[in-house]
Amino acid sequence: MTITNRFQRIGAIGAAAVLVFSLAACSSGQEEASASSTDSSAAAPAGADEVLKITYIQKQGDQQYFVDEAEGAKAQAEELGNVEVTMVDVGTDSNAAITAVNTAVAQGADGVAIVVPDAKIGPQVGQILDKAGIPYVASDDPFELADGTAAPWVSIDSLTMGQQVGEKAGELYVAAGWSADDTRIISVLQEDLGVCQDRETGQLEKFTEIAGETPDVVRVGTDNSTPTALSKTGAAITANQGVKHWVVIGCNDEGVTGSVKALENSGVSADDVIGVGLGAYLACKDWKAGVDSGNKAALYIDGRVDGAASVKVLVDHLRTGDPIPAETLGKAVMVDADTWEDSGMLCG
Amino acid sequence: MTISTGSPSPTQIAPPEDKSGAKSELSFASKFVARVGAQNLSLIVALIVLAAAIGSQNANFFSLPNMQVIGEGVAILGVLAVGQTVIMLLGGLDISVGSQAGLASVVSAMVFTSSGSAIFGMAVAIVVGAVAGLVNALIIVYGRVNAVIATLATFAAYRGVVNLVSNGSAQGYTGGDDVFTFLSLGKVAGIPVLILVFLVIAALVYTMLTFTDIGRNIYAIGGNKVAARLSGLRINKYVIGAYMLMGVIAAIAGILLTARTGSGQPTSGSQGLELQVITAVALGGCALQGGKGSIIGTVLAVILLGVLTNGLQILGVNSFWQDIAQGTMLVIAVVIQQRRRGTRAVGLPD
Repeated sequence: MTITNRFQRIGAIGAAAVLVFSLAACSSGQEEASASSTDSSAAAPAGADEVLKITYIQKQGDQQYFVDEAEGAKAQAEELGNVEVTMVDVGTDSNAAITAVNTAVAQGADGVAIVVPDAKIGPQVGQILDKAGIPYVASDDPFELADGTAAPWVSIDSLTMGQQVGEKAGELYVAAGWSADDTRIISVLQEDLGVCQDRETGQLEKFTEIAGETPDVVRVGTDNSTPTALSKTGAAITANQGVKHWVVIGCNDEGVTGSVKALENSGVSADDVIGVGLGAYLACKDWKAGVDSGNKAALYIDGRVDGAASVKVLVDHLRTGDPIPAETLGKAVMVDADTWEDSGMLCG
Repeated sequence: MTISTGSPSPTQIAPPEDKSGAKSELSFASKFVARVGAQNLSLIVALIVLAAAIGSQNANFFSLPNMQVIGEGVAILGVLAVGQTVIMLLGGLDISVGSQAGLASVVSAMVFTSSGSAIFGMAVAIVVGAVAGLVNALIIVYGRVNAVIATLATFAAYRGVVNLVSNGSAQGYTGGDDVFTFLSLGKVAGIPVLILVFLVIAALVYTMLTFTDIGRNIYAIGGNKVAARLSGLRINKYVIGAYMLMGVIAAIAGILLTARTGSGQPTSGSQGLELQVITAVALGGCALQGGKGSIIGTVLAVILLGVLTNGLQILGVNSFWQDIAQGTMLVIAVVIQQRRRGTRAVGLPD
């Protein structure tokens, strides 16, 4: 093996530089990880004329619920006055969420609301924001910190959402007088998302409790979009010939609506489908049009209320110094073709 | 491995513009362009213009913490892009890099959780990465399958494997471990370890490509496979080696992902990385046909993408526009690349 002089020089200089710098400044990261939370409640409250910068980090910002949430957050900021809200969409990317949190810190945000793509990153998020002394709330999906305590949280959790959907589906199933022998439950979800798993658990638990039995479950794995739900449910129908009745539950309205549509496309009557959505923003379109649909009900979660509440609790904390409430419940109501308009929801 | 004696750098070999004209006739500007490379120079100019535009709108943009955020944000992408550069220089492509990173992320966290040893977890993840890369190479070489199709297949297959292993959910908690914490939050010489890992890998691969026969042969194979074969190069050996290297690098990216997020992430954080990685490498001047490109170009492109993402985020630009900006940059970069190749102005690409 022969080595050039140039290569030797570069290597030697590089190695020496690395050694010198390493000895000069090296951090294990433990100081950062274990840095105690700055007691933000002890900080002087901000005056009403002081502009507060809130960073709102969302997952899946292209979904209608999160679009509404962003609108609610901005409207609330305007109403409160002297509040700037920066919305950041990180899709389902946990790594991007950590980067967004770091960016908020670097930008000197006064508060952070975050919808974590995965609750498992909660300890990392808490660690970064605690160290920076920035107050934060978990919006929509709760998460725990490294010490096992829960972060202040706004909205309704996935398990509870799922239970409300399961309860309604169970009630409709009993009212229809169907039996488990000729019924299948289609559970449509993105299987690798923790929140979807929680919702499904709640849905099936509560359905069984209300209905007293559980028809066979056909799990349809999707990317939480309507087109995938449509195509994948088509295959599930093919594999389950002879089934008379279908109950459709899912992780969001896209999935449930897509599956209900696939059943209708395959010739299943709307009377033989009980679809209970989550979000109601797509199910309402059938109701608004007055068409006979398998979308029988949906849990309407007002994203605008949750978005506004997240901003409000942070601003209240920053301006008054009062602690952030451990839980701030959002608004979730079960709606159907007859009641959706009364709930105050807008159907675009 | 043979280390060459004073071999010219790949940028001197590959780009045609570097060879044009006698050195003595070149003006200072021409010499400077030839030295830095037109592609790298255009990336530096783009970077300066972009940074100036964003910095003029937001005073915090140039702050040290924000520079650190940009560096940490692109570290995982950068690590993968360095590996992809080697593959693309050979004339190949690896679409499965994100899935491989996800697999390694989950494996490192699961092995760590069951064994209690972070180092063992990381070692197993790197072995798994090397095996994943080897499988890609074997499909390409012995199955004689086009690299795009082969890695498209393993992109889906590895994603399936990782979801099966993890049941689709994030695994373990690594935030309390010293080694993982050092990777995610530690600093050496004031530089975050995440950024340092990226720079060290880039430097090592740069050295391999620039100063060794292996690197020169990779350029030769990518530039003209037939000539390389006729001159006695064992192309299959290089393909297998490059894909295994990519697997190992993807595993390192997966380990960084685990350290950063505090858990093994099967999908989140690695899904969509392949598109970003290919964007970065193409933007950095790597020819899709192989044989042309450099690690410096790739690193500059990664930084450019990081600055763009960070800038659009702090300026509050809708994320949909961020996607459009990234796609537009890729198209512009590839069109410029094609024009510089001097191929027909209109018609289907070669």
